[in-house]
Amino acid sequence: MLQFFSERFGANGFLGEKLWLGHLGQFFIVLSFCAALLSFISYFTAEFTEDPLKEKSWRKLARAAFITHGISVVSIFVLLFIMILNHMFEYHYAWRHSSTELPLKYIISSFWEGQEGSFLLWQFWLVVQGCVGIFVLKKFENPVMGIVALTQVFLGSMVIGIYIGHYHMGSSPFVLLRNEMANAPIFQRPNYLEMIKDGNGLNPLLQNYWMTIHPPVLFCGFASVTIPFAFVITSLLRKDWDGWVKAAFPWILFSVAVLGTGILMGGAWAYESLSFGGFWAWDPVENMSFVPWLMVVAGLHMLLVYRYTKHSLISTYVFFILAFGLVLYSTYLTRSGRLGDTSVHSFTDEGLEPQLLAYLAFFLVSGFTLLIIRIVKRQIPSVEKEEELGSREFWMFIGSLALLLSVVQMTFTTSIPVWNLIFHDLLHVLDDQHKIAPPVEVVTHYNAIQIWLGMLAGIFTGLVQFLAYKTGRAPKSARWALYSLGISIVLAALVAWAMHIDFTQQYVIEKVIFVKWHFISSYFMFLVAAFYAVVGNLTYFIFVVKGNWKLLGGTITHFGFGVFLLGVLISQDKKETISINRQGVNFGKDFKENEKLENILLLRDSTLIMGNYEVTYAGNEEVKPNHFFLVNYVRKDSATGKVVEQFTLRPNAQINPRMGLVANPDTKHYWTKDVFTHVSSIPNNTTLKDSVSFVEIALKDSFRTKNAMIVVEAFDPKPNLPANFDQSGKMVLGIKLAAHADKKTYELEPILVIDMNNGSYDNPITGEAAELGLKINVDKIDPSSKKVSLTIHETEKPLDFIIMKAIVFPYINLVWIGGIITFLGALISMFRRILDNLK
Amino acid sequence: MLLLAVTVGVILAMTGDYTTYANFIQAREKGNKAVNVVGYLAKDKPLNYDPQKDPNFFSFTMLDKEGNEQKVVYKGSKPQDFERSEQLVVKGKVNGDVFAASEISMKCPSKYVNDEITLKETTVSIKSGS
Repeated sequence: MLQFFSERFGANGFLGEKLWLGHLGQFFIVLSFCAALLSFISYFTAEFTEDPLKEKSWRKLARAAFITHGISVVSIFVLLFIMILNHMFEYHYAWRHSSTELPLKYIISSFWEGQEGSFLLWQFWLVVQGCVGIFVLKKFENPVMGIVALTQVFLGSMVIGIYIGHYHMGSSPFVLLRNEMANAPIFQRPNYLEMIKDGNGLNPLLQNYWMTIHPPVLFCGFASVTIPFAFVITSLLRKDWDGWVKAAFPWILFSVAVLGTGILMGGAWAYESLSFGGFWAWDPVENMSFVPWLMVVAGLHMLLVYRYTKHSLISTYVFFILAFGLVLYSTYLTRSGRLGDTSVHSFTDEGLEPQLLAYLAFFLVSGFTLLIIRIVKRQIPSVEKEEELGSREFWMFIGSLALLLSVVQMTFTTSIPVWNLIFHDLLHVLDDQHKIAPPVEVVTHYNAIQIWLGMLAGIFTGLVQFLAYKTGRAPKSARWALYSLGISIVLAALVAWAMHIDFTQQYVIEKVIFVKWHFISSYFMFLVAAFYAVVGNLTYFIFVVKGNWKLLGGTITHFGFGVFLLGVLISQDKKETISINRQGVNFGKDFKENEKLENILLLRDSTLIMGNYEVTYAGNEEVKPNHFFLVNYVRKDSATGKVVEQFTLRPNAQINPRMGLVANPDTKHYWTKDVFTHVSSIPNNTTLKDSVSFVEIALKDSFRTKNAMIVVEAFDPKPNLPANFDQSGKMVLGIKLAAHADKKTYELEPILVIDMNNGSYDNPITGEAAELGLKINVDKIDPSSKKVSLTIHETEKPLDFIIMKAIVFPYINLVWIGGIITFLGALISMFRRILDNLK
Repeated sequence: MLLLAVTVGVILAMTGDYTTYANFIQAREKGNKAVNVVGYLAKDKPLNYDPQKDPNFFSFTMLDKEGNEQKVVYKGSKPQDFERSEQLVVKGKVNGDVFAASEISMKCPSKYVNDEITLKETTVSIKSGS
């Protein structure tokens, strides 16, 4: 007994370990897993029990188990925080993801840097949503909560960290460092903990306030996709085709709002802390968080169609099953390490691939099997009549298909590593040479399709609500759709004119100028489409439904979406890199290469003209671990020369021992534009070399060193001697030297010292020009030739410059404002649906 | 049906953009078609990057996995710690004598994912007693 305790609670030969925390944590992990499993089983037993009394007792048990599960998850959460906050580096998780110097807000981010933490975050939100569900789901509680509990079982197995046979299931955040790295010799010592200086720290790119709040919101969104899926399964299981619709709406709208906000926050993080200058780069990880959202939106619209017309029930099911499947698939892609080379986000294989694949397959296969059974048995009701061409439901259906296409393209290209895995590694259909790699111009690749789909989305957002359900004849008020279109075209033309949007692009090939319509077709039409979404919704709300507040949510959402599209279009098309390098540039025939020359070298205290600004690199300051570079921007009135605008940006570029240069841009925000500045490179001053050289030289002669041109000006029999120099019995001779560098002259006077007693040379006195890193000694003088021998110590001058990039983004605030309006609108709709359901 | 046709069309259109992996000899044969080459930095050959002259010109010599040597030019700033890279992937095409890279990705020996324990210096601190 005593041995049991001593093994587990500290007296095991290692000093200072706080093992109680890990044991308690592991206990709660196992408890949470078992409770979720019990909850799932009880809920489903309750669901399939005929006897109402038994049903009630099973449901009670299921609830108790779910609450136990919830308490366990919260306990794990708290313990993990205690571990990280107190820097308990005996635990691998704390050591790996945090360090003592991190401020609190980033300590919070280290919680979800690791995949164990992010799975816990996901579980936590599903617990919160599940607890709400227990209160409000009523007759849907058993099956919906059953599926929520089942999801929790799967998520829990990702962090359980136990061996089943030889298979290591999940990885626990409470693993000890000495177990994780058992072979390191340091763990031979009982006092190893005293020797661990610090944790590995948080990836510097994640040290941004957005990283404190973006993951929780995103994972709340991911978790929320479970519930629409659970409703779909419920409906299919119970063959209850209509009952679930009303109950599901608030959950779906919640999902749209929260997942959307999470993705937008990710964009804000990328914009604020990554180097590429933008909020979206079609990065695989970004794409895979975006596609489930698109599917939920498509599903929402199909559910609306079903509610009002009884059409499109099957599409609704398909979209929500896909949405949940895509959440799991995106987890699989990012957590299996398969994306490794194709993403800026670095995720590593944590050995969870088989588990992830199994869950993905389980939910997709069971969802679709159930759906197919119902379809094959012709149990799903359908309307005989086709949708009318002019009806609202027809165009909503087309719109949802556009979203589906968008999802297909993003998923297909993002899955390139998976195609290689299947066709190269497993089936050997592709040889090494034909392994697929992502497109060279990723952005062009996606834009080529997504622009058109975005345009369709804009037009439908403006148009479709003017149409009526179930009838092909447009109502009288639909004339406003036409008016709105007219207004939008005028507005788009005005903007294009005011912002000098070029509709042509010039190519110069072999001195012949080619003019090509640049995007006019797509770009101008997209602008019209975005305005149409804005104007159409305004006129619809004011003139057609005359301010009916019930439709407020949807209108606001669609209006916000239009604003968002406008922001994307203007800020991206009119973004201007002002740090264009015109020094070393060979303006070759390939126009595109010039676009890449967007880094410019700025010497300390020198000024360059960039766009409308005079830009000066004014110095730098190091606040460990960050290294800020001060870049002054001044804009002067061209006529009067008066300063009209002035600000200083502080981009950060730290040399991280593990990652090299980690740069965070800094941005000046205005209402109408942003000025973005990013340091792409700084001189490497860690390997400064000292050089020593010797020279024998006569009066008035000169010689070169690395940094200066030095002239022997004169011999000085009465040099300035240091105060404590004892001159007795010594003869001194100063050599006056002038060092010319950077158009300045520095004076040095090394002094030769001769001992009068024996005529030997004594230790000479060094002449120094500190600014040049120059030290010169005079070793001897040849009495006959009058030549002096000098030893020159020269320290290489540290270079002080930055290589930077500056981009102006006009009206990028429209992106954020539009996004916020969209999601606020979705929340308003959610409340409206909740109020409706309460009636 | 229509949906299916459109989807297939879109996927086919997209795959046209995809690139493949190749070594430098195959890259030369492919001429104007962009490829990905996986390989290593030839560490005995000089890196050419002088930001004071042109911060957007960087060239180096790379070996592909079969050991074929190729000079690579990249119009951009030199990635920090490039010398320490363990593996390189360059995306681009052969242009005359040089491989014009439009993108370079590198793997470093000790990226964040590696576990490395930093130890305290073994100094003994003695508190001065009163």
